[in-house]
Amino acid sequence: MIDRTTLPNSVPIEQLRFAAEQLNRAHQRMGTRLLGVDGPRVTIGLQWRAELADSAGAVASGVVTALLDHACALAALVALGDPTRVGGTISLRVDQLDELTTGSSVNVAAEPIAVGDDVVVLRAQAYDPLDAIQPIATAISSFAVAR
Amino acid sequence: MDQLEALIADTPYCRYLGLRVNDGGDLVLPGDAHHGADESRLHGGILAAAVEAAALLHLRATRSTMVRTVELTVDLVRAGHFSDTTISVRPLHIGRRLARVHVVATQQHGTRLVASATGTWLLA
Repeated sequence: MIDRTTLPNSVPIEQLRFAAEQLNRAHQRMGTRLLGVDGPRVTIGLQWRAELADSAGAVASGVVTALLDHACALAALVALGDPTRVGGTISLRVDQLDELTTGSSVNVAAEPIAVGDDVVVLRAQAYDPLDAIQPIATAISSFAVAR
Repeated sequence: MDQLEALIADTPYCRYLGLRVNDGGDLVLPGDAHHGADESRLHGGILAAAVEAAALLHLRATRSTMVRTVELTVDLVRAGHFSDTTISVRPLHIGRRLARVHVVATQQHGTRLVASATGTWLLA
């Protein structure tokens, strides 16, 4: 059921970039960018913007939550090798570990833990690109696999 | 209700989401296409973000202190349509430092459950 060692037909980087930055309307509006793919690991990023801030001026924790979900969906796409097989989020658990500071950008990297025929389980970490050691949030998610 | 509206006005991201307060004191996320994952469904990440924002707003309104998310688990029950989503916040326990809160997001006047969430917030 679970194959953690091999990846299916690789998704062309331009297809992944389209899924990350254009196809998803919410992230098109937010200005989310695909930063890279390293094997099964997908990294996206967002520049600080005033309209995405909380009342203190930092990127709102809800924005980080949306980025964690999106990064997991893109890593599921890489893991499944076919956008038509990526279903919706089943569940998303987010732990907020630290606060971003005003003006900080945020990067999120996601990778699969288990790829099944029906469900993909993934993990993701969000961090300030200027401090890649300490994550500011971490997530575990599950996604449905469409048949 | 006025206090929730004031907090929304004070928080850029809540204005970005388009959150508003309905007559029952619940928050409403508009079903705008610009919140979509594709051409027909709301993005799950936006639903999760709106659920989190709703809990933060309610706790800030009741405690009037700094409130920070510790953890949140969102179960997305079914796809969200491009229609208003009503977000109801129910505190399970509010302690001195931590609040445990349950949040439910529904469409079609409460008949269509789209998300259920439980989380913990730090009251500082």
